[in-house]
Amino acid sequence: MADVKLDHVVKRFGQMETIHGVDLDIESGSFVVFVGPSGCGKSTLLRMIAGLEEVTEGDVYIDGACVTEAKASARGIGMVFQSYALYPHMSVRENMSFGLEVAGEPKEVIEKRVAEAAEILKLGDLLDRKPRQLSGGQRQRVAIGRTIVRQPKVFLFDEPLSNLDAELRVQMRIEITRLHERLGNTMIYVTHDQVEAMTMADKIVVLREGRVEQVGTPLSLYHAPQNRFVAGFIGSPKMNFLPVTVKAASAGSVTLALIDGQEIALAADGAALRPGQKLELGIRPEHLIVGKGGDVEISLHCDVVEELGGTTYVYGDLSGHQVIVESDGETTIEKGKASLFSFKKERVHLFDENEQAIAVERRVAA
Amino acid sequence: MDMATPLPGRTHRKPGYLKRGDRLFAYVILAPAMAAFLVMVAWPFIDAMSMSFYSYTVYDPEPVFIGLDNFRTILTDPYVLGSWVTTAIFVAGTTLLTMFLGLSWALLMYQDFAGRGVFRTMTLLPWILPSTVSAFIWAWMLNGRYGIVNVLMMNVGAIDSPVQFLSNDVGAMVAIILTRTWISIPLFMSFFLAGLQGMDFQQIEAARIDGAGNLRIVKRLILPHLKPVFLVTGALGMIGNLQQFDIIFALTGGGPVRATSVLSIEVYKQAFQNWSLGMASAIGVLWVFTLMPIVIFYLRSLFRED
Ligand SMILES: Nc1ncnc2c1ncn2[C@@H]1O[C@H](COP(=O)(O)OP(=O)(O)OP(=O)(O)O)[C@@H](O)[C@H]1O
Ligand SMILES: [Mg+2]
Repeated sequence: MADVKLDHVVKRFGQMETIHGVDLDIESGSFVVFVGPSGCGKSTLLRMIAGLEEVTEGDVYIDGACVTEAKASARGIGMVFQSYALYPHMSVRENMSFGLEVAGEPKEVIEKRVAEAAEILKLGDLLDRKPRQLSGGQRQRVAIGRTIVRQPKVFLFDEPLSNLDAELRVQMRIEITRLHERLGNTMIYVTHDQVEAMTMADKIVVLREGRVEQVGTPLSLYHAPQNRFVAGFIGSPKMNFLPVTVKAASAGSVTLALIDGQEIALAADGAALRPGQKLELGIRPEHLIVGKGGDVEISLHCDVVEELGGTTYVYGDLSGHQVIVESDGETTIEKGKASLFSFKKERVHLFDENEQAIAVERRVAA
Repeated sequence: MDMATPLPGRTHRKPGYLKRGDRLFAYVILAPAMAAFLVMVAWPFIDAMSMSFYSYTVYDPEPVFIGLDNFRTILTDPYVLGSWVTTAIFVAGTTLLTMFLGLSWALLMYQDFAGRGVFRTMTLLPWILPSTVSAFIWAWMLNGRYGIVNVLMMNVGAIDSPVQFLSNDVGAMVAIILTRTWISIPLFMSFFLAGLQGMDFQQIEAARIDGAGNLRIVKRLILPHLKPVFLVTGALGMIGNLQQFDIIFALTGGGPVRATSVLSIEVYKQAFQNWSLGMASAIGVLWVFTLMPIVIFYLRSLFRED
């Protein structure tokens, strides 16, 4: 078990800076997920922690020790790659014992540890197979087993499930969560799948273009995103964003004009706002109610209705802006017509021109 | 047409099977290539093969049928037999050295360093030079009086006085092996580099995390990965070196005496110095049978689906 600390870490590839001074504290034993769109620098950050990529500026600490200059093998980390990166000419057993062999561990220790890992990961029958004789899920288990046997202080995963089909992905997700509970090691997990992030993480780190946008528990990111990017990234389907104009603002209340012309009074921090200012109002699809029942009512022209059985998605239009509504399967909405929807004021998010969140008073717990 | 509907008559066909009309058509398209093959390759080969049963020298106004006499002479003549040994030394030496240096160079060029592109391009230089030009460059470098090799070796103190490399048996053999290797390295390096680039780099990174050093990574990961490349380059190298003529002829002419007289040189000498076309053909035939197993092995490994 070990904590990981990044101290103003910068990465430049030649002239191009891709990580712009990241500070991060990862507690010992926690499961931290790096999430963000493609190219935001998740892998680069993870690889700098692993020692596979040089750190241009700043420092990396593992278990209190500065490892910025240390070799990958000396950092006490284990890594699972997206491509699994199993050694194709070695059997499963040899794949798992390779690292221990290199470290010069005695035969009995190697055998014992491989057997233990095989037991945890249910690989017992596969030990003499070659990687190409395994299914995707089995390969993934071997890749995890290979890191377990070395008993690393920190596990690093780079999109380990993205080559698996949807069903297996869910299954492996649960297995990795169980593994974390069983081993209790610090784990850092990279994904661009926000469902994986929400379900597995103790703490999520949202990255965008080489910067940390927000760090927090899954629910705090869901309920209190600090900016428009995090609000849009966490949650599926994406949060709806509607342009609004400030009509009146004071320290405890803001009156906004919606694009359909109606005015809404919110209990929000309007101290820094002035009338005429353009803001964005965010409301999650699952917080839109079919029919009356909320504080604010809007009429949407519905063009597409997706009925999935348990859930129904309605794609509506409000004065030229698409609004998605998530509802239960009981809903019947007619296509091609206008229907009434509503939402509660406490579910609303507000963002200023710089995409930063403006605090809205909520009765629901964050 | 709906994509899901199978085309009639195209579904349950065994691979390789053609309908009668198709088969006729296939022969029609094949005919020109077959004709060219028969005229350009098969006929001269069969002609040469039949010539190996004749005595046909400047003393014979007409070819005289002598049965297996040519082969008997070859198999009892220590000089001619010796050229098989010479060939084996040359082929083994060149192929092994080329594979070793080609792989080493490929491993270097696989590394990420500034100016790698320039280096990779420069590596191809020996390949694009005409081989006779390369041969003369090396002959000049190995020259007993002015050659740079002598100068360098004297400077390091490896030798006391200049050596006439090309006029002693071992020196001449080493010279042709070095020259041929120098010319072949670009092609071999390209093969190995292509093989290396086909490798999942994350395997190497995983091994680094496992603590493996360079030697272990080469031995346990890179060499097993390159095994098919070794088979193909090995076979290709052996075939190419068995056929080698121009460099040896330009550098040593097969000498001193017979020290570098490989099969190709031997055939040339029999045909155009001794004017013994029957003998030349007989050596050629045996030479083809020496090549054949390697060619078959190469073609099989090339077309094997794996
Ligand atoms: N070796 C490299 N040389 C130059 N630029 C690189 C290199 N590796 C990554 N980059 C750049 O750094 C940025 C971050 O890349 P990175 O692979 O970390 O993204 P990512 O968040 O992991 O994306 P993905 O979800 O697609 O895997 C990208 O803009 C990428 O082009
Ligand atoms: Mg990545």
